[in-house]
Amino acid sequence: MPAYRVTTTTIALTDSEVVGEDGISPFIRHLGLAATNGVARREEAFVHEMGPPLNLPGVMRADVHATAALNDDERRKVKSFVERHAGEHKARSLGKRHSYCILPHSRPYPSEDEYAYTQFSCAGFVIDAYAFARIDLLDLGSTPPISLADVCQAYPDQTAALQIEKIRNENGLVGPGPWPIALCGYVIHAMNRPPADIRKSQYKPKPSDASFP
Amino acid sequence: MPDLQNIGLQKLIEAARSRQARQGSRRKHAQNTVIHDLGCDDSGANQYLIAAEIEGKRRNYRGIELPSADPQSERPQTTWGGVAEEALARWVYHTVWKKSEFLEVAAFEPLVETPLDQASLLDRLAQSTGTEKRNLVCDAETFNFNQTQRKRLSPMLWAYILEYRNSKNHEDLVAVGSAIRKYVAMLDASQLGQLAELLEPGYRASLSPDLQLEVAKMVYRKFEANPPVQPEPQPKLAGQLWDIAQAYLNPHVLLHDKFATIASLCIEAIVAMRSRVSDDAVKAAFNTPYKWFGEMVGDNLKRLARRWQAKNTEAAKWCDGIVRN
Repeated sequence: MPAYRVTTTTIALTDSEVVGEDGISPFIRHLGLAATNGVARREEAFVHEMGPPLNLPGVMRADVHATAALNDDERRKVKSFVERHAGEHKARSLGKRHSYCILPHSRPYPSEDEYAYTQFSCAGFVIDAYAFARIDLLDLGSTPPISLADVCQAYPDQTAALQIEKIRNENGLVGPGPWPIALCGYVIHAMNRPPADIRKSQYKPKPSDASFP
Repeated sequence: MPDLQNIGLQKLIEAARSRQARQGSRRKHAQNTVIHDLGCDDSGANQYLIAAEIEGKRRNYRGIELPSADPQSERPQTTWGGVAEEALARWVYHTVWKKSEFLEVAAFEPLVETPLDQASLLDRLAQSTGTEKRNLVCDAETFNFNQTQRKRLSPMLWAYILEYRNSKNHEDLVAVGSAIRKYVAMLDASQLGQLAELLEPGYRASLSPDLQLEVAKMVYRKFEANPPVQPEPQPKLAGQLWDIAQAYLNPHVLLHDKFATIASLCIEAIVAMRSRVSDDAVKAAFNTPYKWFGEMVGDNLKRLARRWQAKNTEAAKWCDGIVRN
């Protein structure tokens, strides 16, 4: 199975495979790209993940594991994608201001004309890394609109912050919602298909795909 | 979220006692100790600050003025953590220690930190040195500045780049990379030739690969947003990027370190400048023994042609032709 729920205490990961972490299970709240090859403790999988800041590598719990059976060429492209953005986010770790966006899943900051660095959501970082390797996981034009309550489920640490309109706006959530956000669960469902299908067609997520049972 | 109002006094006193036991430790460590002894992680503290703000308590909670939080932040790993820790620590200090037998633990001075905005960042950047300066340079990248502020910031960033570009300290180089990005982002495309100075080998050492990557990437981004009306606007810069690309395109070294990424960015920047060496550069990318490398460069240049389509159809057509040939 290309995507599955991890039930063991250890997990065998290959570089650039996708790891998901539960919020209130089975809602998937966080994603990362495996940073190493080998066996890891489920509680401490080494990943490249958009914290914020982008941690290269960071550590997260591997509740779900998804693979597109990347070949070596695709893995090299993903590596290059990470290298292109690494310095931008290391700088965020040194400074006092983080950078993140919820909608869209990634965007040039502060603008296309003065593009200094890229903001990502955690799912957006994975989506763009795979797109760089010619694997378009999601049909981003058909992501279901979700309400503020669902957004809070995706960002449980930020439930209070998300009640503040200014903070929502800074993260791309303009207006009263709902918003077509690319949720982590959608990525896992997109990868829960045969590898050939993952490459052949973009996955059209359903509202129930926010969770991965 | 921990409800701090419901945390028992006894627990706070235990926290203070624990702090007293560590009286000799540094203040930051002591703050962390208090937070952990209270059973609150940074995230909880962060939530507390925001909740307090929503309830209108942030400015004056139990008679204590709390610091501002940075709404840009997501998780309190650095500043927010620091601010939240400070808020909690001050609260504990004022509400418990001052009223308890631990009053003598006065070494725990309340911190005062002005929230960072553009004006204060520029003032502090002008006066700071060392680590503080390095961190402020990184923060500058996250702000929008008006024209007056840009005139002040740009020379400071350029001076920082020149001073630290050969540093052996990794974090200094991260900050130089940040300064390069912000400096170029604010620069007019016609002035990009200035970057040739950075790529010139033989100053003291050649620019580190990480910084070569940032320069090439920013040249590409600048011309991606502003397609050159005439080909070859910066011949010297294009020549230097081509030199770097050729060095890394050697099949024996291309797969090492970040060399493939740097080489691809140099080639993409050369094409984005519509340089006369674009044809050679793209052919070189397609002729490496590594198919994925040519594909990656080709994909990025097709994306560039699509982006240029709305801005300069002639440039877009030229770029498309370069990839197809």
